[in-house]
Amino acid sequence: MKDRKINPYALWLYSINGVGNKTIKVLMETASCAEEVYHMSQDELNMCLADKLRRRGDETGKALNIYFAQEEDPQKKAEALREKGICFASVEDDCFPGRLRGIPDCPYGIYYIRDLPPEDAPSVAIVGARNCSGYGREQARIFAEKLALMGISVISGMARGVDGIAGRAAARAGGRSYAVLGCGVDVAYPPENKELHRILTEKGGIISENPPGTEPRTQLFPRRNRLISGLADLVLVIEARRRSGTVITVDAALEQGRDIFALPGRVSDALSDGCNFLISQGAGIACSPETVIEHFYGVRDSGTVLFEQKRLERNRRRDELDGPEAVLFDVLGYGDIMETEFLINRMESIMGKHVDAEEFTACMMRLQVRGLAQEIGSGHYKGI
Amino acid sequence: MYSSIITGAVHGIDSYLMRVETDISSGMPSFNMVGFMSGEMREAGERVRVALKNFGIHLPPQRITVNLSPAGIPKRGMVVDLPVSIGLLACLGSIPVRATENVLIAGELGLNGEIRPVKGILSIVMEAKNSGISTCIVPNGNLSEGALVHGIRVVGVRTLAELVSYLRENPMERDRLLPPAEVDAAQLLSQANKAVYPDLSGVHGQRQAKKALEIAAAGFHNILMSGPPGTGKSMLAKCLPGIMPPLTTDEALEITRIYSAAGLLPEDTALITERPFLSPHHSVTRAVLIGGGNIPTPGLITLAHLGVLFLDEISEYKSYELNSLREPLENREITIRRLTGAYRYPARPLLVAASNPCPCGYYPDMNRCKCTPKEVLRYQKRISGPFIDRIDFRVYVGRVNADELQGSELEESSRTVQARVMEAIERQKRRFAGTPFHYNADMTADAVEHFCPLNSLLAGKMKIVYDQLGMSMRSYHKSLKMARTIADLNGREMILERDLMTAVGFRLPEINDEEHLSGKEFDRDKKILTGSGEHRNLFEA
Repeated sequence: MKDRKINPYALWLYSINGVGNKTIKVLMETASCAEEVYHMSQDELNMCLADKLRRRGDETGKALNIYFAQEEDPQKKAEALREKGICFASVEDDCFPGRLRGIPDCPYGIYYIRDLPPEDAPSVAIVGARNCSGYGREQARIFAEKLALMGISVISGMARGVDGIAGRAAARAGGRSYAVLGCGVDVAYPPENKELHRILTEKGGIISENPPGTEPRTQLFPRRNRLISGLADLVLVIEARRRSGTVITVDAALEQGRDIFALPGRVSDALSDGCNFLISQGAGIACSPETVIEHFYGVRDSGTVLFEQKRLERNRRRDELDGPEAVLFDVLGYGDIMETEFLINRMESIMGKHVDAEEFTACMMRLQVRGLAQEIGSGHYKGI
Repeated sequence: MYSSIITGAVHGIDSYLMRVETDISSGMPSFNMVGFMSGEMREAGERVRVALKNFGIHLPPQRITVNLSPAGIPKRGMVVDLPVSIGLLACLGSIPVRATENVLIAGELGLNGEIRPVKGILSIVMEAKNSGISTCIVPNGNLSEGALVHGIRVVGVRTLAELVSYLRENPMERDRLLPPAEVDAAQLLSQANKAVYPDLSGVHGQRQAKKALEIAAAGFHNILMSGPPGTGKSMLAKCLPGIMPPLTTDEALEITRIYSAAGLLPEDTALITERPFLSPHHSVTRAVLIGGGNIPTPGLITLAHLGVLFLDEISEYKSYELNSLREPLENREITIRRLTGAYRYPARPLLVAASNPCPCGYYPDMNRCKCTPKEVLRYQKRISGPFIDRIDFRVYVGRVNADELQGSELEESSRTVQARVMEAIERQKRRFAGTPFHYNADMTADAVEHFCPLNSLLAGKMKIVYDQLGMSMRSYHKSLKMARTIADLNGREMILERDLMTAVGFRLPEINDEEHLSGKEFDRDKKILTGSGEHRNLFEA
């Protein structure tokens, strides 16, 4: 953990009502730091806001807000925040992430719990659909785990689906996992990810530009996305529809000059449509975690080891099976969700005899009990 | 002059005998009816007065009092028109008082003296027989229904004039005038037209769903069908009564009694010979569903007794209505209590529920489903948990591919399936002889332990399944009951591993959708992925 001192004046300035990134930018043209603003008189404040904000007609209000806020004690504010276990870093501080300084529309300050991604290690944002498929779910986990183990910081949005899975997998693998929230850092949203929120407060980090206690609001999330890509060197898209929040993140990332990698999928899958489109536009193709790792550390001996490993594992498990279960295991394959009727028909064509519904259900159950298959929804199954 | 006529009234689906007492005495001319009557029954006075006038008898300007006894039970219906008019005629001396002794009379009267059918004749005649009445005079339209009861003389009359001449006749000669009718229920059943329900062979593919229906019919297990719209859930449900065993005479009589009491038995129909199939719209009210009203009338759950109650789009039903079904589904009957008494109705339908898996209907097909995970969860959670507990298993009804739809493969007919179901039910009958159970679905937890024994190998296997799937105790018992039915269908007394696995495969899963939707990881999943040591090493290398 690095220096966690909070600059009380910066915190004071950032939390004044009606004073946002733009106003602070204007103030900083006159004043050199937040502390100076704290000691300004009302006239000085008026003067320094008047030039830039005249057209808006709200400079006096803002100046007044600041003026009145001067009665508060910044030290106390900082103390209160620290008691909640929350830290604050402003652009004036050394600990402010260097990656963010360079992005357009950089926030003046960010709140965070525990830690910020280190500057000297590469970081990757893993983003994707909330209602991802089994394939996306699995790949998100594999990529996050592997990258985290290679010492790469994993940044995600802690949303449902890909984000949450990647965040959790990275944390579980013992790597550095960070979540950027659209609400306050102390608000665990969505509720399904409460546990992840807890894990990240203990080992990892939670970051947000919104003050603690901010409730999740729809308009906050697209802005949050620019921080996800901003904190990362590379954005990895696991699964995304052509028009989705993930694409907003990618747009922001391109604007910030980040590299984009996308996980290829079948062209017929709506959920992989966005990824395939990105690839066709020149995004890097994430065939395996090694591809991404090579991007940072240069070419290593990698290839498709993981895939090979999975295949061997499945072959080993297949040997435990015989008869119709083995056939079903093959038909079911790996990762795709399939329907009952389809599976029965395939079994029949392979076995060359009638398969009745009872036999199928029993076989499927045996596979499920062995942990080789799983029912998704009703009547849909996937191989594991 | 005083006279007393016996008639009957429906109470629930049972009946009680009622006495219509008539008295004509001197005093201010009036026509009073007393005895806790509803409006339409009180109007009998007017109908009787006019009908008698048209028959040629003018009521004398005297004080006429009619009392219905017992006076403590609220009464409704038109059943007393006829007894009141005969009572008056007896008082006036047009009919000898002795002619109505030990005779039960029931019927509604038209102003022209025509006699019209009334509700509940079957149950009234049954009660009359039990009370030792010798003759029942019923409207001709109800004759075939009343004639189902043997050991009592049941006579149908068309007009008041016919009835009067019948009663004036010497008792020895009466049968010649209007011969008593008798209908044989068993014969009617055997003659019944079997092709009322669509045949299972008309449904292409859907093997799993068909098997599920067979199991439902064989063990009387309530079933939930889920799947995208337009895949034939309703069609399959309609086939279900056709594969349930044919009604026995007792069952047919019981159903007929319900329909008769509800006034839903078509005129001139003696017996309901087919299992009822009811599919209410999801806007149905609680009173319609379980029965209600000041003087209760039977609800759909009673009208579907021994048949099929099909609740389509179950997620659209309000939980208030669904929850009201819980108790009757558990107790096999519904008791409706009113201040003036409790009304008991049998209610043992086979419940078939159908639902889409999500608002758009395509989940988990992610290429077509446009619902957010939250919407899917909310949709699935809309059906109340306690209600779902009454359902034994679930089957997915998916899209059938074109090959099967056009396929020439011969599909099994309802008759073949029915034969297997009947055999399974025969087996259950033998097993449950001397117990309160009829079907496997009736078994209590204790009975499950007793009637579904697992050998040590299977018990061990089931333990693994129980842990692995995170099953609940209830789900465990349901699976055993289902396995019992599947074994019965396969003609085995012994439950095999295969039966058990099929049963578990059909169970209502507890958690997995939620897990899938909320984006949480499956620990099971994880176990497989990192199952071997080498796999883990790969990451650490």
